[in-house]
Amino acid sequence: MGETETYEALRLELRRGSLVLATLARLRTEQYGYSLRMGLAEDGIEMEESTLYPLLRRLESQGLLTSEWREEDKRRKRFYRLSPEGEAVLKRLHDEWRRISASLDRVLG
Amino acid sequence: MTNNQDNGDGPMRLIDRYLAAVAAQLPAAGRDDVTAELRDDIMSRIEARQAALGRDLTDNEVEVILREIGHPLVVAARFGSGPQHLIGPELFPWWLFSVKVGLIVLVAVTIFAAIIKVISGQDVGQAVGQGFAGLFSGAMTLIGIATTAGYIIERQTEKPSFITNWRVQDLGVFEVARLDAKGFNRALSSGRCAPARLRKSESMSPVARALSSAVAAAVLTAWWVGAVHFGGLPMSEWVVEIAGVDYSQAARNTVALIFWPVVGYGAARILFDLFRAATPRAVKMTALGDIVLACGRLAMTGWLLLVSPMGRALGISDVGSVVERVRDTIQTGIGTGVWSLSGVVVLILAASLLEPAGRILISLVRLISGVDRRLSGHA
Repeated sequence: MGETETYEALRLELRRGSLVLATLARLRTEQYGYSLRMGLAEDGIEMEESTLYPLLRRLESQGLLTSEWREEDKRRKRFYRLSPEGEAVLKRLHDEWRRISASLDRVLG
Repeated sequence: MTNNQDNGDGPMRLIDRYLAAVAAQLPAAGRDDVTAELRDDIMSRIEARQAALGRDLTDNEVEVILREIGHPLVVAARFGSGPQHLIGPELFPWWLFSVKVGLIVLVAVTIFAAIIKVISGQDVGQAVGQGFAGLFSGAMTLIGIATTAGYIIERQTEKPSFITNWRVQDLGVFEVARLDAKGFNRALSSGRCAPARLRKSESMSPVARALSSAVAAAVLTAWWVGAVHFGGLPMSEWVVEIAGVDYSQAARNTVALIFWPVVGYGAARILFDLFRAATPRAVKMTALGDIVLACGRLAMTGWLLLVSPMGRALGISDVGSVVERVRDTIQTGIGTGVWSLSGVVVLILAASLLEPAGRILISLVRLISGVDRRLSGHA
């Protein structure tokens, strides 16, 4: 494996854990799948459909999100938003993220 | 600009075909939800692209979008609730170790079977060829069984306790996997057949010894009943020729007569070893089991030598004839340098009686005293 491939594999590994945090944070306001993906992309977090939609279902089954089907622009869309439990978990994850970030800043100099 | 909502047009046909392929891989529950959501996403992407270009998309451009989303098999698999792998990273080292140990036993038994065939008159090339063929099919069967077991374990809500509840004193069993190519070369060059700690069973814990024995008994019993082939031909079809005399029929009759007793012994051995692994400190029960199994080995070897069709074919009728044959074989061998092969076979069988006899004596001492010195280093 060359340096580029190694870097890419490590970058994906590093990024994986942050996707849940970013998704939960974005869903403090109600979104449907496509608008959520676009919103995340605008913030520099690209996510494939085959990653995002299974993640949304998993988070919903864990009780962190709620969803409902509604018609908008003549099409049925599934809208997601953070549940009260999701808000509490997001706050804790955000705190943990800040702690890790501060630790890494110290380690990396 | 259109929304491509008509079922008749090209892009919609592509989208329908794509979503049908995804839906076919999904469980019925939730299938419509997933495809409806994906459809909305695809349509949103198409509309955004059309808005940017100021025109409808061609079929090729729609296909590019669908390919970006991913192959239906991959997309559907991501929606699955179970693991996305046959054997996960937690279980994989156990799978790898089991396969490694199984392959080591397979190779050892294949070599043993090939040697027996050559001694009994089969062509060397044929024996080696059959050995390789048997080794290949045996290895494939072993890997298949291990993978199936791993697949089932991976999908249990609770993983087996041996993954988490392990003890340092039981780790001796894992040294078996040290017998790699480098270790084998070192063993050959130094005349040692295995790492020192493996040869000294005292350094392995009782649990490790019992589990190793259970694995070996399971593989050998599977070979005996024909579930695993090591040597290409089943035993019933072997040609047994010793010093120009064909013993095939006698050998086949012997195998047929002793088949079920050996199966019973193998099953008892596995159950007993598992019991030993579960209760390593049950000295008296272990000694009792050892005595029963050793009596079984003694009876089978005695029958093989004195009563079986093979024993008769070798000219053995009673204990006196065994003693006489062994004495003649040794005297002639030492005196003239010519060793009678049939005499050597009788000698090996007679010597095989010593192991269970010795085991019975040792186990009797343990049964009476309730002390097993092998346990002293594994408190």
